[in-house]
Amino acid sequence: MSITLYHYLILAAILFCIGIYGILTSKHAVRVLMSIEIAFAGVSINLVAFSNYITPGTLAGQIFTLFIMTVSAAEAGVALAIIFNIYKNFRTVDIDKIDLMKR
Amino acid sequence: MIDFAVKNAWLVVALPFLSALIITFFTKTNPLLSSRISRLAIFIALIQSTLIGIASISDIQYVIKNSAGSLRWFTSGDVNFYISWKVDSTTALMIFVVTLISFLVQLYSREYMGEYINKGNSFSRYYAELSLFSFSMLLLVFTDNFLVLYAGWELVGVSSFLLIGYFYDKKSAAVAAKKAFLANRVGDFGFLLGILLVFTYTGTLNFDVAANQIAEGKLSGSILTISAILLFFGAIGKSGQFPLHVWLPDAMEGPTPVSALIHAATMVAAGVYMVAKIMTIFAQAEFPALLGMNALDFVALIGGITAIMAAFIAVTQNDIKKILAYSTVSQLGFMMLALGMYTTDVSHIHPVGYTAAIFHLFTHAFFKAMLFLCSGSVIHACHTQDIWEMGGLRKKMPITAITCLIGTAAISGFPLTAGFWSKDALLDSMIIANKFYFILASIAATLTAFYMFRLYFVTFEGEYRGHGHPHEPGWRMKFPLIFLSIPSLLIGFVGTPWANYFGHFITYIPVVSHQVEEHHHGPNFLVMGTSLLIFIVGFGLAFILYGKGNYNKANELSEKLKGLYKASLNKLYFDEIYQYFIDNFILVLAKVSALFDKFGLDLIVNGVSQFFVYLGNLIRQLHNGKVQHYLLGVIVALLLMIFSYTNYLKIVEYKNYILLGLLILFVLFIIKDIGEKVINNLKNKFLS
Amino acid sequence: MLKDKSFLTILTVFLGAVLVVLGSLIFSSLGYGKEFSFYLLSTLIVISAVAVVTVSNLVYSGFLLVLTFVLVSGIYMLLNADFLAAAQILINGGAVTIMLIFAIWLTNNKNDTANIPYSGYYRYTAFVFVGLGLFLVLVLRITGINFNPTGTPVLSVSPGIWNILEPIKVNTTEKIGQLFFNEYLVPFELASILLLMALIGAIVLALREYKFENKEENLKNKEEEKVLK
Repeated sequence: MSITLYHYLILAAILFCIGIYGILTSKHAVRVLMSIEIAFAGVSINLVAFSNYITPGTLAGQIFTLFIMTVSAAEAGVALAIIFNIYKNFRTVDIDKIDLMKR
Repeated sequence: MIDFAVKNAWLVVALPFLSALIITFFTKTNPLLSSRISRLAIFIALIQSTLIGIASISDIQYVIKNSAGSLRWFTSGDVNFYISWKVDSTTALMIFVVTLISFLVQLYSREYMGEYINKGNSFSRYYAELSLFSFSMLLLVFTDNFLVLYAGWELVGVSSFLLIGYFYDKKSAAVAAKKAFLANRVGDFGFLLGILLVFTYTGTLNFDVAANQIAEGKLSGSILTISAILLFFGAIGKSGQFPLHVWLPDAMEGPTPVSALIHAATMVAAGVYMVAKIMTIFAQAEFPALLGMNALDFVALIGGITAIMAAFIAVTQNDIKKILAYSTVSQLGFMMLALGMYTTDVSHIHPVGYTAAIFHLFTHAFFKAMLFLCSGSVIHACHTQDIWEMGGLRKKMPITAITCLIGTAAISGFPLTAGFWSKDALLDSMIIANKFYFILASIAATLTAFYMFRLYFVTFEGEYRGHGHPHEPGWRMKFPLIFLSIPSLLIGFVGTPWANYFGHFITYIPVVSHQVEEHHHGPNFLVMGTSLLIFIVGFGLAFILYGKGNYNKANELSEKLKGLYKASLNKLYFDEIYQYFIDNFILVLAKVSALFDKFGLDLIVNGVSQFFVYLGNLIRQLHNGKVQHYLLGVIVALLLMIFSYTNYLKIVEYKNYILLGLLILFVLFIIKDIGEKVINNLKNKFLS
Repeated sequence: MLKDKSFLTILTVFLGAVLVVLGSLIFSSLGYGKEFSFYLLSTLIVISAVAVVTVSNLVYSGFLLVLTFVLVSGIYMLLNADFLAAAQILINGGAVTIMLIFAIWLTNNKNDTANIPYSGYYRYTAFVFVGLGLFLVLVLRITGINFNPTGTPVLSVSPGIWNILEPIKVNTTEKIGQLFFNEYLVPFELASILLLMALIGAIVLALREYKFENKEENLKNKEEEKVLK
C-alpha cells in the first residue's frame, strides 16, 4: 500500500491536535508558543501534501507554507517581546496568574 | 322638601365625608374655618335626617321605597358587590340620633377644645376626624349589606383610634388608642368570618336577601348558629361586651366630647344596632350549637355578664369618666341582654326585647351623651378627672349640676324620665322571657342607680375639695347640655306601655310571617314596682353613704367588704389577666412563629436567592479571565456545532448521545474546576 | 541545567534520530522503502511532539521542538519540497527555536509557578476534548472526503476511493523563486513588510518599559538636584 494524501493529512491532524492540547495545558508562556509552532507544523504538512497530490506543478501550497513560516517567525518574535514585558511586570510567565481579563 | 330629603338620603352620608375631605386638603391651616365647615355640614345633615325622620313617622313604606339606592363597587367573578343603602325605621332613628349628637358635640367642642385653636393644625385635625367619624357611622347605619357595613365598621374603628389618640404625644393616650384598635380587631375578625360564612352559604351580602335565603334553608343548623355567634363577635368588640370591654374605659383618654359622641352614644351602640338590624338572621339561628345555647342565648349571656360586671366595677371607680365608661358598658350589656330575650312559639323564635333594646339605645344616647358633656364641663372647670378632688360644684356650676342630675335620674330610672320607660321595657321583656335575667338585670340596675348617684353626690354636693376656681362654661357648652336634658326627661313618653308609639314605629318583622303572640299587653305593674324599688334602693344607699358630704360610712363599708372592694377597684383584674395571658401565651406563640419565620420562611426565601447567587457564582467562574479556559470552551462549542449541524459522521442515531456526553463532560469539568477553587477559597478563608 | 546527565541522553537521541531520518531519506530517494520512511518519520514526529508538550523540563522540550522540526522537514522531503525542507530547518528548527530557548533563559525564575503543571483533571479533560473529540472529527472529516484529481473536493458518503496521483518530482527551488517574483510578488513584499513590522514591534515592546523607568529615574534625579540646590 503506497503512501497517500490521507496518510499525510492524518499525520497533520495528529500534529495539530497535539499543538492544541499543548496550548490548552501549558502553564508556561514559552511552552504555549512551542505548542503553537507544532500546530503550525501540522498545518504546513497539510498544505504541502495538498500541493503535492492535488495540484502538482503549481507549488501554491509550498508558497503558502513559506508564508506561514514567515508569519510564525514574526509572531514568535512579537510574542516573545510580549512575554518579556509580562515577565518584567509580573515577575512570572505563568499565564494562569496573568488574568487581567478578569478585572 | 321632605321629598327631596328622602330621595337623596345618601347626602346625609356624603356631607360629613365632603367636610372631612375639604378640611384635610384645603382648610387645614385655618382652624376656625375648618370647624365651621364641619359644623355646617353636620347641621345640614341633621336637618335632612330630621326631615327623613318626619317622613318615616308618617309613612315608613314610602321612605323605604324612595330612599334606597346602590352603586356597583366591584365585580369578582359572577358576583357584583354593591354599595347599597336603604332607610328603614331603625336607620331613620339612628341617623337622627347620630347627626343630632354629632352636631351638639361639635358645637360643644368649639369651646371645650378652644385652647387648641392656635396650636398648629390640631384643631382642624380634630374636626376632620369628627367629620370622618360621622361619615363612617352614618355609612354604617345607612347600608343594607354586610360588606359596606364592615367597611363602615372598620372606618368607625379607625376614627375612634384617631380620636382616642388625639393627644398622641401623651403616652397613655397612644397606648389606649392602640388597645382600642387591637381589641376591636379581635372582635372584627370574628365578624369578618361570620360575614364570609353567610356569604359562602347564601351567596349574598344583603341583609334581607340573606335572611330570606336562610329561611329557605341554605344555611341552617349549627353552621347558622356559629355564623350568628361570629357576627356577634363584632358586636362584642365594638360595643365593649364582656371579654373585650377592656378598651372602652381606656378610650376615655380621648377628649371628653369624643367620649360623649363615640364611646357613649353612637359608635359603641353600633354593635347593638347591628344585632338588631340582622335580628332576622339571629332569630333563625335556633339550633343549640354552643354548649346548648343558640345564638340569642349567647347574646343574652354575654349581655347579662357585661351588665352586672360593669356595674360592679363602676361602683368603686374614682375617675369621673371611667365611672361613666363602665356605666356605658353596663347599659350596652342591658341592651344586648334585651336583644337576647325571646319566646319560642312552635319553633319560631320571637325576640321580645327587640323594641325595648332599640328604645333603650335611643334614650341612652341622649342622657349618656349629656352626662359625658356634663363631665366634660366639670373637667373643663376643675382640670382634673378625680371625683374626690371635686365636690360642692352645684353652687358654682348650677346648670351643669342640674343637667347632670337630670341625666343621673334618667339613667337610674327615676319615674317618668326617659330612662324609666326604656328600662321598664327592658325589664318587661325579661320577665316575659327569662326570670333569671330579670333578677340579674334588677341587681345591675340597682347598682347603676347607686353608682350614678354616688357620682352626683361626690361631685356636686358637699364641700369643694379641689384647688382652682371652677365656673360655668360659655353658651356653646351650655346649650348642648340644656338641649339634651329635654329629651332625657321627656323622650320616654313616646314609648310608654299605655301608648307605645315607639313600639309601633320599630317592630320586629320576621322573615316568615307566623302567628305572633301579642305582647303589647299594656303596663306590667310588677315591673314598674320593681323598677321603682330599684331606684329607691340605689338612690337610698348612695344618699346614706355619700349624700351628706361625710364619707366615713362609705369608708367603713369598703373596709368591711375589702375583697369585693379591691376586686371592683382593680376592674376585676381583667387587664392583669390579659397581660399575663399575652405575656405567657401570645408572646411565646409569637416567638415560636418568629422562629418559624426566621428558619422556615426566610430560609426558603433566602435559600432561593442564595441558590441563584451560588449558581451565578458558579457560572461566573467560567469567566475566569484565563485564555486557555476560553479556548477550551471554543473547542467544545465547535465540536457541539459540528456534531449537531452535520451528519456526515454517519452516527446520526448516536448523535444526541454524543452531544449529551460532550456537554456532560464539559459541565463536569466546570464543576470540578470550580469545586476545587471553592475548596481552595474556603481553605484560604479558614486557614488564614 | 545543561550539566545534567539526561541532557546527554537527549542529545544522543537527537543525533540518532537525525541519522535515522537521513538514512531513510537516502533509501527513499533511491526508490525503496518510502512507506517505511513515512511511518518512521511520523512515529518519531508524534513522539517528539508529545514530548515537547509534556516534558517537565522546558529546555528539553525546546530541543525536542528542534527535533520535531527537523523530522517535519523530512516529511517535506518525502513530499518533494526540498527548498521548504531546508527553509524549515533553517527558520523553524534554527532561528525560532533558538529565540524560544533564549526566552526561556531570560524568563527563568526558580520560584515561578509556571513550572508546576496543571492538575491532572484539567489535562485529562483537555485530552478528551482535543485528543478524542477534535481528532475524531478531523479524521472522520478527512477520510469522509473524496479528493478527486480535478482539485474540487466533493463530499462523499463512503470513505474516499484512493485514486490519487503519485507525487511528482519538481525542481522546487528554481520554481519557487520564479513564482515569488512573478505571481506572488505582492504577498512576498507584504510578508517582508510584516516581518519588518514584527521586528519594530518586538523592539518597541521590549524597550518600552526601560524608557519609562528612565523617565522616572530622570524625574527623581531632577528632584534630587532641586533639593540639593
